[in-house]
Amino acid sequence: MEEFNTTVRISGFALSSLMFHHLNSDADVEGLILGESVGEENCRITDSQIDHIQFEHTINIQKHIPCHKLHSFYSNVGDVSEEKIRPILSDYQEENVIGWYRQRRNTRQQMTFMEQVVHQNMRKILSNRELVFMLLTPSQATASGSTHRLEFSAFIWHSSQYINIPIFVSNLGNLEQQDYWRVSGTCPSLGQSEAVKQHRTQFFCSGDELKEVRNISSMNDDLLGEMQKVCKEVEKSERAVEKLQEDLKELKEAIKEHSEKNETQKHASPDEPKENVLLCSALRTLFPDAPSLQTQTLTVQGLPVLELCCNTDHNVDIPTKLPLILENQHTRKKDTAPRLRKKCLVAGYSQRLKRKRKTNDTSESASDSGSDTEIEMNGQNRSISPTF
Amino acid sequence: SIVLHIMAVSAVHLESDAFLVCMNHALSTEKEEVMGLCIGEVWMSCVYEVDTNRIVHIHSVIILRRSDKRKDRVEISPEQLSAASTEAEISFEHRLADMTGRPMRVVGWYHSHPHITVWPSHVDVRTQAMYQMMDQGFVGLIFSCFIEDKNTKTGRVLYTCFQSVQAQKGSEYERIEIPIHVVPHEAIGKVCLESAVELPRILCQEEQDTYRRIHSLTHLDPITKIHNGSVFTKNLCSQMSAISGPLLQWLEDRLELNKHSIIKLQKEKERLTQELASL
Repeated sequence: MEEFNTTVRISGFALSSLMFHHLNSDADVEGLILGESVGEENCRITDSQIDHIQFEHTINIQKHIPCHKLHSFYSNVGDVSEEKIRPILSDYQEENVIGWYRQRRNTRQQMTFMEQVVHQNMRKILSNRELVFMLLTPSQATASGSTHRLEFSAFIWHSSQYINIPIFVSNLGNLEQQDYWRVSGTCPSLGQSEAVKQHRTQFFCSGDELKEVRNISSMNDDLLGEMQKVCKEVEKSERAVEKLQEDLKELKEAIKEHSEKNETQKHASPDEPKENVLLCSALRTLFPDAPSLQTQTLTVQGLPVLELCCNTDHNVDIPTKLPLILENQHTRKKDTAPRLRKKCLVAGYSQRLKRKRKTNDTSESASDSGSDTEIEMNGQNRSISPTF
Repeated sequence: SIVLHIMAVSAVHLESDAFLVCMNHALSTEKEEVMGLCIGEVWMSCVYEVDTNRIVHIHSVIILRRSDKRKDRVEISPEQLSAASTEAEISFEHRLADMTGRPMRVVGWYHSHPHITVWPSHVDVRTQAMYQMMDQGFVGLIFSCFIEDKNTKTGRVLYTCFQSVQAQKGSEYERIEIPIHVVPHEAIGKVCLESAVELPRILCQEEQDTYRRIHSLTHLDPITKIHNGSVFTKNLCSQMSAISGPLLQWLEDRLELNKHSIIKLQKEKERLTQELASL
């Protein structure tokens, strides 16, 4: 008969560090948990026939690796890929992954469906049957916001279900602190015995100091010194990270300013429409003697303003860009009513329209543009209105 | 005439790295209450010269030594707190100036309630009230830990912020709730780091002081002294195992994490610098 007896242990520092990760984020956070699993088999025979074998399993959470964003190691449907876990682990070994964690505010201490799917896939990928899922759920305990609560527990898949396992926070208090003896026993013989006097030097240094006390104090001092050194390095690294984040912020702002400036320069006068260079070149080619067709401005009555002609040579290569124009040019050279065309140019639009109706009963298509009207009046059947 | 309504503290903003140190301290032992001081500044805003809004901003904490240690749950008396904070202000004056050059001061105190409800006891409320007489903006924080719901097997940690108020003159002091928000502070501040590594040093010092007091007793025979020596060794080993070791582990992990962040941020900086140059 097997009993499942698993405990999860975490140090107060590791738990605080997890809380710290979530406090610095508005959203949910998640990451990997590293540590070691220690199993011990305790065989107890309660009677001659039945063996109770108790497996005592301790999972020690030693550190966590926070993920910078959610869904770092799994897809939207919960598929876990080893390639995605590798970069998160970086230098750490995959064997040390003993689980993963998620922190979500104002939710229940219950695994969601997605979390269950991810956990099962993690178990397959990492071939760790005893993988732990640690769930931390902070919430507000009072309406005023004066009191806050954090609940946490671990989940393990066992016997086809998820079992909730308490997390034990290892601390100084749970290690028995022995008391000092303040009084000696009342037997002077012990203090004056030869055996004790002979072996005294093995325990005491010159004077009254105990060798053991000196040794352990010296080791502890060195350990604290080591800690101070690492602390200084951590402090330097914190400032370096802060400085880089500041630099990035400044760079992003500078880039934003620059691109905003470029944008405004591009659209210098948004109200003015851009010149249709192709149309201008086409009109100049087709009607070289009609300057009014090169104007970009009409009066309110629709009369072209000849003074505002486009005089720029746009250097458009007509054969390549506007081949149809050349075809038309060729045909138009056979035109027999240039005079009529000129008259139309001077007349107003309404008059042009009247004439169009008169003479273009047979024309196939009518268009509203001035230039098209001219062309049609020449008796051309083919609609050669350029499409822009 | 203008009546000045000086309201009690309207809210407390606790920086997350200061919270980290408090939490480390509170979770260090389930056998007794631990305490410390909150360092920061008070921001006041005056609305129409009538309503004063006080927000206490806590930037870091200082871990305090308990002057008298008892095995049972020890209430922290006002005298204890006063003595400890005076000592702290003197000893840590050089650390109390903020990195930005703004002077910081003691703005509150915190202590832990292991296995006990987060609400302040009568003694806690009285201690808080005494301090408020000297400083109206003084606030109290309590961290309740090592609580487990036996049914759901869920561990729990709670923290609360309070001040004391007297309903009428002569009546009992009562607690009033003060909203507390933990403000994100991704990088850990210098003062916070220094305070965090003070804990093992303080524990070691307390143990050494206790041992020396015992060891100086003249009537103890060699066997007793050898026994006490091994008790000292055992207690120090417990500290190394439960506190120094895990703290060193966390520091090394944090350093690793920062090293990776620096590499990533450096690459991003180079990329953005190139992008800016090309514009």
